[in-house]
Amino acid sequence: MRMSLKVNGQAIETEISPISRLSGFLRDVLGLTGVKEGCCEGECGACTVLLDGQPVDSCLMLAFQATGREITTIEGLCGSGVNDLQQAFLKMGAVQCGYCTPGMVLAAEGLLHANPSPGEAEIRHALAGNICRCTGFETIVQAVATAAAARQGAER
Amino acid sequence: MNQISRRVPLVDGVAKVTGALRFTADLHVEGSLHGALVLSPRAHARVASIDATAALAVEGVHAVFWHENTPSRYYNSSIWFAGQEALADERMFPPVVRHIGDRVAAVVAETEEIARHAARLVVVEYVDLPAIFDPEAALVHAGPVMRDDGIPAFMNPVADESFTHGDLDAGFAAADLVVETHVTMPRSHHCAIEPHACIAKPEPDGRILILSPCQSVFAVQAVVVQALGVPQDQIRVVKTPIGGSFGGKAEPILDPLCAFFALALGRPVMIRYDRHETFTATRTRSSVVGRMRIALSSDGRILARDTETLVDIGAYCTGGNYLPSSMLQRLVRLYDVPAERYTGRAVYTNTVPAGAFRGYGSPQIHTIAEITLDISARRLGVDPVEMRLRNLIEPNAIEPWQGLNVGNARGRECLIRGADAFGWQGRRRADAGRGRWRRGAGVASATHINGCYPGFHEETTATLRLLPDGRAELVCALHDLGCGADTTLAQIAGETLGLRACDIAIVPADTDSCPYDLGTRASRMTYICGEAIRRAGIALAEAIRAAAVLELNTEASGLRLEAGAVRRPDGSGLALSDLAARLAARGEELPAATEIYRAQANPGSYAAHFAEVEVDRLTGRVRVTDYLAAHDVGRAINPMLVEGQIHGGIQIGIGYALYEDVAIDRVTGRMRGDSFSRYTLVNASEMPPMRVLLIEEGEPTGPFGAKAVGEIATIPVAAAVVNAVNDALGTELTDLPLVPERILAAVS
Amino acid sequence: MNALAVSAPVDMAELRATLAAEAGPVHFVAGGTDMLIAGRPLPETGLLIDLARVAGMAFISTDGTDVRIGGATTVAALAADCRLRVRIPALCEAAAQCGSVQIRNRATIGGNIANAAPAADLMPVLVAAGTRLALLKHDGTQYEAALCEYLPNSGHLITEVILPERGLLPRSAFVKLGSRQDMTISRLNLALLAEFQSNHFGVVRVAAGALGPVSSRLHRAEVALAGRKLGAATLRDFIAALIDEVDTAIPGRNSQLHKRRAVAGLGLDLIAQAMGLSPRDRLFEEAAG
Repeated sequence: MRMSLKVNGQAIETEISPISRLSGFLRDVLGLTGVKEGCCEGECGACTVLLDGQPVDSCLMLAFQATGREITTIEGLCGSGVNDLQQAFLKMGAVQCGYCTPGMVLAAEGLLHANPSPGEAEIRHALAGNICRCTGFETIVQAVATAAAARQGAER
Repeated sequence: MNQISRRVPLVDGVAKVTGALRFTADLHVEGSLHGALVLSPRAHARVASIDATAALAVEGVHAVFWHENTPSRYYNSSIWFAGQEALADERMFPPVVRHIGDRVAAVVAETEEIARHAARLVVVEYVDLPAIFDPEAALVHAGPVMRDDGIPAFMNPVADESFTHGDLDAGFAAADLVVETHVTMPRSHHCAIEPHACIAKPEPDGRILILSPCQSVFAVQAVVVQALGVPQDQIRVVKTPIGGSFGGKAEPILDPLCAFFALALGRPVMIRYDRHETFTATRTRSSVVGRMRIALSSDGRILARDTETLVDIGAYCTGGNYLPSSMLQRLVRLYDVPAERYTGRAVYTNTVPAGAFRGYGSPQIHTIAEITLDISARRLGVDPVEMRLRNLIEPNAIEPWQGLNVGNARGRECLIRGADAFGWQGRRRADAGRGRWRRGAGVASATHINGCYPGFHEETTATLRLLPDGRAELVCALHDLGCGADTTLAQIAGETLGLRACDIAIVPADTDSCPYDLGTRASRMTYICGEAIRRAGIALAEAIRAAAVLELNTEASGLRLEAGAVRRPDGSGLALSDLAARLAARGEELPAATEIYRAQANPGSYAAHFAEVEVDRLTGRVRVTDYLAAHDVGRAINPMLVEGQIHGGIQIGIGYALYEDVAIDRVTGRMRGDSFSRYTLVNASEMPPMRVLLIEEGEPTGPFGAKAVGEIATIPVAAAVVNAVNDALGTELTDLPLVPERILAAVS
Repeated sequence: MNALAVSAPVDMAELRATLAAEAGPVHFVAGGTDMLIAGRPLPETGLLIDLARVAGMAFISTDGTDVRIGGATTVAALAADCRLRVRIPALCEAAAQCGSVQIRNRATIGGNIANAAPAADLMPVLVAAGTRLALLKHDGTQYEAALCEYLPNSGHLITEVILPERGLLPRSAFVKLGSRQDMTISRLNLALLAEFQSNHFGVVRVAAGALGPVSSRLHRAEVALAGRKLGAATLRDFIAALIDEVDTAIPGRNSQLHKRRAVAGLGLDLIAQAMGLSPRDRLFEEAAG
């Protein structure tokens, strides 16, 4: 079937199998391998992308359901550069092996979009669907809190 | 110090946060085929027949492989170098499958989707054989592990290690208290978020290039050579970025298959496991049953200790026969025990094989010993911290098993300073509460090794050379598993050369271009590779100064390297890029230095962990509410990465204590915890606040005084948490994980 | 490899027409969070209908006497709806505790009901509230049925979830117990809807999930509270009734020993939440002791 959608700001029209998962479409057809696959059951969050700004597990969504909608993957967050949140991840040691990182960053972006000044418990709750096996989440939570505070400060 | 003790961000961090870093499954290899496996649904069965007709009829299928059309060579996937003596009992596809998830067949096709579809069409007939799932029962299945003709007999025990030191009987006779425990530990899974993957690619010269997220390219090469029976120089292995390993990717599992398929079909082949396959068809932490009898004086001195371990290594030997001795090695370097007896046995069962997992037996043996010590302290009425202080080994002690010097061992400082920072006295005295929720505090000490000395060629070769742009290239077969080893080691190189970590260009581990190295294992990266790199850096700095003498018209001894330049005492000088350009203009080779470093010692790293828990006596839920880890790291090359290792170690340890168990059914042999929804992982909301205290007293044999931290970070965690639960409830729980059922059985 | 056709109707009329025209098997997908879980077979033939784009299937109407919720309304929308929280806080609470943010953004109330997982988090609240469903048959006929009469295998589409006014009691709560605090599958969950005045319970409805194949009312537990004064004695009777319910529901099951004790803790948490109190309040500690 044919579908059209927007991925990382670009309009795309393509042929797609009805049972293609969004994660597979983004990785295999568009080559957006920043979308990782970890469990294919919505438990690890490595495949998290933003659907019209909201985090979803791209492994649990059929690609054709994204028709007419806008998808943001890690590649589309800040191009080849790093934004303030990604910078905070780097500076605070919130990245180790890096496999969960794209999904984690996007889940955090989704949170900061919905709740610009989350408390620590809210950050942990919002990231509960993203498993990192390396960091113990401590520095990830700090990085998100730091980026949130900086963004709030910048707005004032 | 310009680079040491600095919180330098990961040298490959930008590629990671932007998603630009390509892991194995992200690589696009032109013309690649894809493999999918047929895994055994039977725990122990003869493969009576395989009918691949339907699978082969699927459009896009190139081949179906099983035991009749693949090499019948036995191999051991845990070997580290060619010719290593090891019980070879594994086959690419065995004619008798030995566990649910064992490899029966594989389909290679144009796409993964086609391969997986066709794999479901392979018809296999099995003849069931009796299966053993219980390690105690496995002991009855006794006999030689290998037949005379070199065919594995799959008899038990696979390993039987015993050790006696001092007068055990006298120790027990003199005891004021004897405590006996029975501790059981689950089989846990690494759960690296990247599932297993591998690519093999035929090269124009007839060789096979393997792209593998591995812990040692040389180990992969050795295993593939053993499995395929091809000459070593026909196999080239290059390490790809690795999305977490923790030991799970230490043994090449897919590599021999990919290599053989690529060789047979003349096309590149990729196999990637899904999560279910990664659970059921790779490796786990071995489950261990431990019995410990400990003789104590009334003031809390250990007089004698008698330990028995039974290690379930699953269906294949891999490195499991080392586990009993490896546990012994760590047991004897924590406390000064005058009389010690240890018996450790490893047995086969019809379950997924065990393998390396962060600490390699150390979390198991420490869990046994530290829970036992805590129960002893409570029965004696001695404070657990005080009791540990009375028995801890002193710096430069000689451990009794291998006679190794434990180096600048600072377990004492970890306990004293950790207890102080944690507020141990206050928390321990605090009331546990009388109602539904009970609070408790627990402590555990630990030690771990630094490298493989005195075993298997514990040496490495590092080459550093000046690059035309003034940076330096580092060749040392490095395998960063995601812990930041590349960054740490680049800091060490940078420190010696007056460069920043990001100025060190690290050549990826490659069997063609790197000298042999054991790989990332045994907590050896910083301590062994780091020292080789430090020495190579000093030698290169010397060579650069010598080369600059002519340009700067000064004695070499007066020159120093800093901020990417070689400088005279007055600060004037020459950028290294300019020096390189001038040398090149004169037709001279750019300075380079190679150092072979052979380890002379194996000091201990030490730690003390403190946990506070709250237990809900109605629901059985345990929450870790506060945590402090004190670590004797010698020197933190990069404190941020050291803390990161400790944070992650605590996370895996809390899982080990409270949640994680692949839970192999004792009747069917089926793994119940075979997906992330059925295997509980600690997520962000489960983690307590964590504090890390670094004791930096310097290890004389380590680079800039540094010792290992990666593995030890997870070793004491489970015991600290269990001890806290026992403190809260007044129980003596010893069966891990402490799931609600076990808590409730104890309190109701 | 498959002859699966797809349709994404934009409104109810098109949906009805599509259904009426299809002779073969029909599959519905809304969020996809249950359907696409690894290892579950995906439809290979017939017609797959995307419900996520149907205008008029995602709404929360709280203005009328009954609360009406479109079948394709996401769990995230339920959790975030302030007016819904006024009418039935327990439903918002259950929604907020369901899965992860990513799952809540896709999963729908209709899917939670239709996929009929024993641990489905919205179910005990819906059961306790006496929910009715507006259903659409393939031939286009629309009918209403009580939630407890709904057969997941019927293939009839849940277009609306109706919470009748008389079921919306002023106090409500939802609690769950899983292996983790967040992002966890319920091993047991409880919902309560109750009248409460002058420190006395009036009408009470309690339902539990993960105690059997479907969520169901716990009548003995309701009786233990109805008309009684909030106090340690009442709570103790309530706990005893809950334990009794567990013993009846799963006699001899491995999980019985665990659940019969855990239900006491969860029951106290439930009442505490409904009363806006902390479960650490002395009242509850007394009842637990």
